Amino acid sequence: MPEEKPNLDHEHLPTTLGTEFIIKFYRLLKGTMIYDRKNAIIDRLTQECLEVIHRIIQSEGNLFLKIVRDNFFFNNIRIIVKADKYAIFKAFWQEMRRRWIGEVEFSEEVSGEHLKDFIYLLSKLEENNESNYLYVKKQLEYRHIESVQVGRLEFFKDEDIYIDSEDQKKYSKEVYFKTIGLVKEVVESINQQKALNIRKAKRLMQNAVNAIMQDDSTLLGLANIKNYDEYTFNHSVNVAILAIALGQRIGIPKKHLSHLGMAGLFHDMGKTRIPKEILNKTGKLSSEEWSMMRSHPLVGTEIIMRMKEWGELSTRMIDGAFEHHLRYDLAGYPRLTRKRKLTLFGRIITIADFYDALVRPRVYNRFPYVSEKILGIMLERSGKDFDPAIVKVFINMIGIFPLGTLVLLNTNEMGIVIQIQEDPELIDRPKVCLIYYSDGEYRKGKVVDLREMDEGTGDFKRGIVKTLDPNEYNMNVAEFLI
Amino acid sequence: MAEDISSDKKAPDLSVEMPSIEGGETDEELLLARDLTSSFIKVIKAFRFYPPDNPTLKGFRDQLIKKFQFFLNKYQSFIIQVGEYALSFKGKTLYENRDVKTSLAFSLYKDGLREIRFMKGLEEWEVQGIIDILKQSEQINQLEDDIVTLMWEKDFIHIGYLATDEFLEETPVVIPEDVDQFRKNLVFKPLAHHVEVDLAEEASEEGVDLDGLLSKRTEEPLPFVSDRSVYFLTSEEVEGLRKDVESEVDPTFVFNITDILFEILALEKEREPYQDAVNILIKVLDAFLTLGEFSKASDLLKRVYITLKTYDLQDWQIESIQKIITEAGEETRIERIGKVLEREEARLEDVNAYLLLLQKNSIKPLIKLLGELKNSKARRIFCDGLAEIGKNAIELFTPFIEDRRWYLVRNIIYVLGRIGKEQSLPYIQKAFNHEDIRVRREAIQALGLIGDPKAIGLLVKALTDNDVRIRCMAAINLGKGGKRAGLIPLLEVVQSKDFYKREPAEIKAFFNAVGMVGSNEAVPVLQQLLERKSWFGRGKIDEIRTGAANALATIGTPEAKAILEEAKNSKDETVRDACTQALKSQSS
Repeated sequence: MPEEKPNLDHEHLPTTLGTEFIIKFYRLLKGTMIYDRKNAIIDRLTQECLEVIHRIIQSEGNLFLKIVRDNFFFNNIRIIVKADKYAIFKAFWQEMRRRWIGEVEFSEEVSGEHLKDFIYLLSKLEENNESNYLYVKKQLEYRHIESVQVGRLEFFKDEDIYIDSEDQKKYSKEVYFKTIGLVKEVVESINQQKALNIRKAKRLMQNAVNAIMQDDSTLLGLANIKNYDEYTFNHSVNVAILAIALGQRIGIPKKHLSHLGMAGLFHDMGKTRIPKEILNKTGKLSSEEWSMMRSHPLVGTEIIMRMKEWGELSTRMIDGAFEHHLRYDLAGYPRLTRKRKLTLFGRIITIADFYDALVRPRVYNRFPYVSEKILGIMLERSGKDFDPAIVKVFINMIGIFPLGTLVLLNTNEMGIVIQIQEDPELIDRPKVCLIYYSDGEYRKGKVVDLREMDEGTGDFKRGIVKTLDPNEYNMNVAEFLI
Repeated sequence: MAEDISSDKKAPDLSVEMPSIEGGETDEELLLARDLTSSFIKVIKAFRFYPPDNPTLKGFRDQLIKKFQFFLNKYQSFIIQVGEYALSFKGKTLYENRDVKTSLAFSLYKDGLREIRFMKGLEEWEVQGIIDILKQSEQINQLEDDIVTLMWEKDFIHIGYLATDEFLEETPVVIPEDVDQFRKNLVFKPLAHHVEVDLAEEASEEGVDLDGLLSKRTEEPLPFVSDRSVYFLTSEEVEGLRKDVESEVDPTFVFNITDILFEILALEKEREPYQDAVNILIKVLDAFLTLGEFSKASDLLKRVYITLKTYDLQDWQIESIQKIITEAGEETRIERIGKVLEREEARLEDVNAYLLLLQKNSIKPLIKLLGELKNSKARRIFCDGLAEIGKNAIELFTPFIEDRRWYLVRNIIYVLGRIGKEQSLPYIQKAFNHEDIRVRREAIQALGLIGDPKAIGLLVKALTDNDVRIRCMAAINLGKGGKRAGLIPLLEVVQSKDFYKREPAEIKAFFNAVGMVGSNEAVPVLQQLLERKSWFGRGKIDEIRTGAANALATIGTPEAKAILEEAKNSKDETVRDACTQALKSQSS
């Protein structure tokens, strides 16, 4: 009796062909949002997409792409999404989800004009309309395009999938603040040596994974909150979120993403045993204090060992706790007695931990300062302190102007980066929430997409000139992200 | 089917608590939903009751899959609403049970599940997956999991659910509705020194001015902003990450914890966590043995020995670590090895490597298992292991000399022989008088291996045993021992009056034994036997001459060779042939 889902060969043809098709099809779809159908770029993108479609039809006889939840099936075989293709799949998935289209089928070769008809039909569909597929079907029929078929996206509207961005935001906010509350409870339980409610933490992390898989920008945006309640509570939640989002892009399966979240959430538990005077001391630490401070990964490991039976989850939590101060080159602490490769979970949490701590204000009464310079520091330390491949994935995730960065635009407007474009080609053109000053305080303005082009000049309407220090404007960026 | 049920269990009550239908139901969808629900619950009950390898279960499950597929092909989806005690479909109750101990509805409801949805395309693994969760719903550790967390982890494609987790809230959490509420909870503190240093170079302990670094104005954008190749993954990196993911999501990745546990053994100075680490290492060892990963189990034990040797440990630490080695040889663990050897072809050299790392406490359980092992090669491995572990523990073997199983006694004698200690002689002597010839032969071998004067004395006695096989074996073992004390009795036998009357095989064995001793002392006797004239039948004297010539060749000293060379030219044809053959066989 099969207990596990069958493993798929990563190199198998359906994954290769399905990936090729999705990339070309998505690029064409994105093109239709910017250019009209007579534009030379559309011609080129159509040709590229046709070339793939025809090749698949010739070799496979049929091209059937189906989306079930967050899984893609190519001719009924599940596609495994690789780390470097993650962004484009996610972006494509979001576009299709918005339109409630879950199936696309080409039963034979099509002409360029028919493909253009079809793609513009898709492009112009209204958002969140469950009947879109019927409309497309009718239109295709009307235009005598018989070789293309579409189907409805299969998921339940009120399930853990949120079409509406406000719902998604509300859900993410609940997950975020409930998780802060949970960490507080966990710390209290450890201090009072009470049994821990792992189940609750698991549920919250599973919810966090759900939210991140839908759209990671909301929770990643919330991870810009740095001074909410005690440092450890806030920091632990941020690390968990950053780790899950990073793990997702690396291709860690869903179940293990929740484990990764748990590992992030509990990575600093060793600090609960360090006296507060040492933990919060701003002056120089004595060598005894240092040695106590540096024991926290080991102590954290031991706390987890005690609170959780040895198994898959506890192993990963232990990896996170033990390794999060070990560097990629094995420097750091605790000093290892035997050289070995650090675990993937450990390497991910190290990066998430470093980033969140670095973004934290270092001076009293200052706000967090997110800027591309932080990524510069991480890149500089890549290969020595951090796994270089994971740093790259991290930058692709957080953007070169990271979420939460205060930016000055070439229109002389000021804004906060709130969403990174999934297409890596457009990583420097995020969505920005404009900020304006009125009645003595900064207020949220409209959200602008820096991909938007001026139809007259063909240039981008806005671009980032530089990043700004929110402290100079007495602004806590997190307030604009909650 | 009654015959499939274990004797201590009664036939299960697979009836389903379906509410009675008033009047005839005409809605086909509802009728089918009712039937499907009934089957679903029946299957879960069956899976709870029957052992997992019962063939009935597969039949039940396959039937359920068919019903699901029929329904879903017709209606696309099947949605069950979960009430506190009832399951319903489109508002109609299909199942009701108010007994909280047995009610499936209640077990789902209490975990927050409010709806389960099955979609067209439902696959076999998904049906099995949900059965696996629901069949064990009573055994779930509520501090760690519930039906919802388990369903989530399965990541079903065609099964969805609606769940609430509000009941988990012990204390209400404030979710800031607006900026003012948010600001209330903000805490502004300067950064602790350790965080600052952690962000900087590890070695310095001084920290660096990261704030300064970040606020430093740069006129030009940082290189990576314009040079995107800096953060584009190479195909090697993509492949590397894929491999990392693959290895870390593998269930065996749990064993990776071993590295960290050994770090704890080297670093920790507190007793309690130290003991925790030791306990988990024992669990890891258990898992290795259960899975038949003997090589990994012995690697773990080797690391334990290395830790003991390498680090400057306190007495309590040593004691704690040694517990792993002791536990490694406890009966439960040895039984695990036995179970693996029973069911599969294990790499016996790996088993051997593991056994060699055990200590005295493992002897009894190992002997117990030895008596049960059916595979002769495995028995050999166990005997060799025991011979190594039992070097200084003869007394632990001796009770088994009385065992009623001759084969076990033989194995014990084999082990005692390999250990080669004089203290075993009384027990070997006992075995020498065993009623089974195979045990007696093993005892002779053991005496040969021990080889001390007492053992030789016993072997000499055996030269006159009534059983020819024992006599031969005793002779050979005396020869192998290569001692003068053995030679004299052997020579006495070969020179005895009636020796020529013995079976050719025995004659041959005795001369071989004399040869094996390799002493020149035997040369004159052998020369005499080689050249002695025949008073008896020609055949018999030929056997004596051949034996003597071969023994001289085996001795191989210049003196022995000289006699053979000279006798090669003997007038007697049989002497010539015997010597020529002996020299030839020796040179080849």
